[in-house]
Amino acid sequence: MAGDKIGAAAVIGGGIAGIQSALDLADSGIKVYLIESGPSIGGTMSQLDKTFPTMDCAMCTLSPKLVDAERHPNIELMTYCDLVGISGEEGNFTVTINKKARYVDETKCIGCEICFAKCPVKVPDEYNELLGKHKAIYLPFPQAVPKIAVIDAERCLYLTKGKCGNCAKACEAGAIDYEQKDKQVDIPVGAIILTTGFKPFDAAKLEQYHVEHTKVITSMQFERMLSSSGPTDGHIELMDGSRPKRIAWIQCVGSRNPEIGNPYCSAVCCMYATKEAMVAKEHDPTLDMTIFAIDVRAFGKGFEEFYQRAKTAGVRYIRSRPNGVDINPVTDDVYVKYESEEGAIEREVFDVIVLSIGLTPSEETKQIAEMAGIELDEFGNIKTDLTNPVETSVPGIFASGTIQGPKDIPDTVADASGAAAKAGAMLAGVRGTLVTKKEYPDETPFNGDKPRIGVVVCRCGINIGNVVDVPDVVTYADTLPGVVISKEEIYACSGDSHERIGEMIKEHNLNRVVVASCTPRTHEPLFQETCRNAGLNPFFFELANIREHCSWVHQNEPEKATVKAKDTVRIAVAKSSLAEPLYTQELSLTKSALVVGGGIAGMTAALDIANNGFEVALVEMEPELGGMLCSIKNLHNGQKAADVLSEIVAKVEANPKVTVHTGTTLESVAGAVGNFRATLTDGTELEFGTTIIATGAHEFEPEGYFSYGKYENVVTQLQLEEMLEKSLDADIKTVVMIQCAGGRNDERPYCSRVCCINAMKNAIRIKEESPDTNIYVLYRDIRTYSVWEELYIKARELGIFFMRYTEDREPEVGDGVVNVFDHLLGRDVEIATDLVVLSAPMETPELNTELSEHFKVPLGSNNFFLEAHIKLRPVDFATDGIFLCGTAQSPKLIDESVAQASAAASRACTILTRDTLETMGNISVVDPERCIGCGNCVTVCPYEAPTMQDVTVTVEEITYTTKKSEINPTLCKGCGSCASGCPANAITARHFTVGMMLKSVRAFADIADVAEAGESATGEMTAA
Amino acid sequence: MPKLSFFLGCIMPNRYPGIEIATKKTLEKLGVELVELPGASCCPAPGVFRSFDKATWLSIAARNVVLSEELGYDLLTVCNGCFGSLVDANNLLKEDAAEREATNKILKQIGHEFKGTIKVRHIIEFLHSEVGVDKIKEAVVKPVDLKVAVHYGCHLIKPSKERHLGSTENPRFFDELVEAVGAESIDYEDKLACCGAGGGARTAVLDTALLMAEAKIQHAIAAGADCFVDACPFCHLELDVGQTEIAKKFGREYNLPVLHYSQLLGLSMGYTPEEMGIDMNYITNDEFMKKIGGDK
Repeated sequence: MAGDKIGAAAVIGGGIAGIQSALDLADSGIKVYLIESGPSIGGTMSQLDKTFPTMDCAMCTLSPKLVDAERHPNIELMTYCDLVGISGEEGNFTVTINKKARYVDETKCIGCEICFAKCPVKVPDEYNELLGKHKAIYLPFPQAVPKIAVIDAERCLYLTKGKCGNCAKACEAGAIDYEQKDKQVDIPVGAIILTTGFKPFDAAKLEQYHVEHTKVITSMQFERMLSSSGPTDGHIELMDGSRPKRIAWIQCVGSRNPEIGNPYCSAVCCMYATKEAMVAKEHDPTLDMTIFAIDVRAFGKGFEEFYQRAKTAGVRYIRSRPNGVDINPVTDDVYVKYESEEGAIEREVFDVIVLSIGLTPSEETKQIAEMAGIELDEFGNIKTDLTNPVETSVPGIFASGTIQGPKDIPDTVADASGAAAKAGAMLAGVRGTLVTKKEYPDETPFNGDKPRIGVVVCRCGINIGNVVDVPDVVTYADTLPGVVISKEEIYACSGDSHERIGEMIKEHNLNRVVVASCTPRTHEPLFQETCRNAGLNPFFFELANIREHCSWVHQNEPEKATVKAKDTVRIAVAKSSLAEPLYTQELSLTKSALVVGGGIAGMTAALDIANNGFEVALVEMEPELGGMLCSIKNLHNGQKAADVLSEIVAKVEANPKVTVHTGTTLESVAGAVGNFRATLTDGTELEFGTTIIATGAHEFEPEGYFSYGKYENVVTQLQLEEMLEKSLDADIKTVVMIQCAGGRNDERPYCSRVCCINAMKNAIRIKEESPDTNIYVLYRDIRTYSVWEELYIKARELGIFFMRYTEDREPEVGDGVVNVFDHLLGRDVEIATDLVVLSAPMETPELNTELSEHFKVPLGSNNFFLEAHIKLRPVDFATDGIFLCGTAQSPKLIDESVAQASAAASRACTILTRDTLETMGNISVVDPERCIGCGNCVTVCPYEAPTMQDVTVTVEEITYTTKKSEINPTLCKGCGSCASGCPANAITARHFTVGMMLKSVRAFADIADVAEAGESATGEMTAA
Repeated sequence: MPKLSFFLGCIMPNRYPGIEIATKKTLEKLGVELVELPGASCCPAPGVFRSFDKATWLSIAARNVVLSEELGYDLLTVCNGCFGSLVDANNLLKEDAAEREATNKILKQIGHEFKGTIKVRHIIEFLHSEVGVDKIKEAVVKPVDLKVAVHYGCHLIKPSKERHLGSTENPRFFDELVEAVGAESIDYEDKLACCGAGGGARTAVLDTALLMAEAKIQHAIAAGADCFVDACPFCHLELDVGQTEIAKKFGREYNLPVLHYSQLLGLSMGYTPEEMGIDMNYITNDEFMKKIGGDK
């Protein structure tokens, strides 16, 4: 069968999920077609201003991924393409795509944007949530990938009326093609991953919120207003020009609303509203912020702490659900009428009301499901199950992200990597069959030849050319030392220009190239490639950014812009004259993995890696596999935990590639990515290339909380599950559950995420088994997020009582009685009870501390492991080759643990599928002669690359032992932190040597190279 | 134009006979023939009866509907309460076979059977959809120059899913009828709020009911209204009599006149305020009477 499979995958949907799946698969040797219906990849995340709870700029964290996806040799980006058909079966699908006419030739457009100014038609801008307009020829956003313009055929004057044609006249690249037609393309692939995301709820469907009013906007609109690249340049400014001071958010607009068929919780709105309030507060601390919420659902990692910070910062949370927005027709004020927690009707006027709109299944999801015969759940999301969270009902088709239901970015990213692991495992036999390795000509040998520098100055159409005097810069460049040829290009990045640069290198026997154009971030790799194609080492290339730094920022002072452009070119030429060829190194790699922790996460990760074709050692400290799942009886969907457990344990034990080591832990660990070695406490020696940490968590024993330990009838939820297995004592007529027992306090400030859902599960079970039992759930916020809201609805329908308490007035548990303050009644209520059940948070095993030292990976608060980035790298550590998953990272549900485990496996496979490990060329190196062993480099490195080694030194017949720094080339990212932190100048960041920097600075100051003789290319500093 | 049975209800004939005469005269001019429904009882009041005993509510309401069925006419009411009760009962019995069977068992004892052959109409939606704004405009001989605060009331438009009268949050059909007679329908704060009387509130918690009415009155005055125009004798009572009660209990006087739509329509057709029974209202003021050409 393997022979029939196709070593390619189609990823449908170019949001963050699709991008992550594509990158993982492409890194593991699978050819990927990334198919996006819009003109750019990026999805909803690109529209966000910042992300909670860290307030990172969304675009700044996302945009490198966009660029990675665009540049990846194994990824074919297919934007502006609609999926129209799926046929075939697992391993051999045909995906049919309608490539919509862009009316712009993708091979010619270089994204200069000049045509936009000439287009006379304005179109409401959907990317900016209709708050602004773009032209009929446009890019959805400035960082669009690919940066290729698109014409709105319905609005374009030429295409609708045959008039205008301005863009064609303006385009110097000749890219406009009014004759383009839609084109159907069949793509053969082995696997399909669906990641088309969600559709924001249409607030106009609930007319009581009056979204048509100027002072009522959606949360997505507010997000665009906060964005500095948005329609209001980052100012909170309404369409009438007003700058609101009093801002209110109304939560659950289109969510938790069974009336309109959306009973589920949208899972992200409480946090994005909190984030929006905090960002707005950063813009203007005097703003008055109010959030109306039924429950504040701060359930994810770091969310509760963020919510508490917001409260401290002055964001007001009102626990109420206003039934709409009211408008005073006389004054046109908007106001909110709500019921306070004490039951009084209040009304309050605001300057703007933000509707926190929910996530709904998109029409596309339904169409794709019909096309491929995939089952949907009751809400219209792609159906998955708890133990197979990324698999659809059709083998070979996987789903990740919000196409399965509302979820946040890290869960989406975990899903995405998880889906890649599953698709990768399916195609393991045909890995590498459809990817092409780029071949380059041999490099021209470099023997310290004198610099022969070629300079290309780019006009970037009129982007640079209209401001900077390009011919003047070209003439000037000719006069600089070492420059043998200088010329200009209209678009240096266009295909024909690359050819001309290649010819120029050969014709003039150049050994350095400087291009003065735009940002190295997007264009340096492009020109480095040009150099390699012409036999030049890529590090002989230097880029001078005269667009962003000159023509754009100084567009009103062209003379100064020209002077600055000359300075910039002079600096680049000076730096490049000291450039040396740098080479990557290839290191051997142990193609096996270690998974630490044998719970559901660890077992899943081990199986996924094994199914991808690699050996795995699975280490579990307990005598049996299973972890927390051993003590859980029923899962929250009613499945028996034991059934799930026995199935996966059997799979692990039957898999020949997985070796299980139970009853043991790690004694010692050495090495780094590619080549780890470890010894177990039972004496076993292991060698492995990557590691996954899945050490899990356990239920906190709430000793001292709510009389736990004092009365026998005060138990935890897990103890209750045990009791329920034997069926509950018939004498138990009243059960009181207390949420957040030992959680969300000073000691454990985090929300444990699963306890509300757990309590619902157990309360419903009791009520279904004995309907006459009274159950009270005392809670602070009910956080049954996403589709699990249905458990809360069911619990209420069954007659379970819910009473809220606050942290400053906790319930008191006495002998057979619970006292709780009822906010509605305004007095204490005494509940005579037979059983008190405490929902205690998850906490981490003590072993984590030791493990974090073994692998030199960080622990976050309360000893949960700390991932590399809370949003976009949820299962990576900052250190290469080490990954994490499951509750070791933070409390989570079983399906989330399983998805993360697959994700970690996928990330591990991106390393294991390589034949060798390739280091970067421009890494840092230590001169051991100069190293004084102070260890500063170890402290400053974010990637754990330098380590202190014991060495024996003999100087003038004296032999002694000392410490010297050694940088692991596989871990070094070339950031240069160690070089700048080294007090002895022993570390050189290659390609950014001290010599190069000094020469650049001198060139900038126009100081003659007086000390040139004393400098070497490796950065020797002389007393100049 | 169709023949309709006219369901009088309780409050209109007993407290505001002016509304009854206005309805009869104006509809006659528009060519709608009304036959008083013989043997009709209380609708019964939806807030009270239905909340306590659904079967009793349903059988009494069904009997009223059946009386009209037997005449072969659709049933017309000018009251939101009667409309809420009768239209809900009619729909429920048409859609739910089990309810119909149970109710028919009761009706059989008095020799009736619910068949589901007629519709229950409210004067406002009937005028808007069956007679039409244009025809009403044609009947206007003396455009009414008033700024009107339209009061839809609750049962006319809610529950929205069962009424099918379009937008529940920004309804326009009643306003269009008001504008058809030359008046200006002004927008005022909390326009769609309850008058305060419904759901037994007027009987059980009069002070609360009056405070709700007072808020509406204040908002209408703030927006510059000359009067309220309503579509329900019970709302009419609350807003009209309510003002005398507010004055007595709280010492605050407003004197904002209240008209039923049929009375406003009558004025535009050239009837005098007295012919439309407007003098039978509790609240009036000189300026208003001058505007509508009354004697006072």
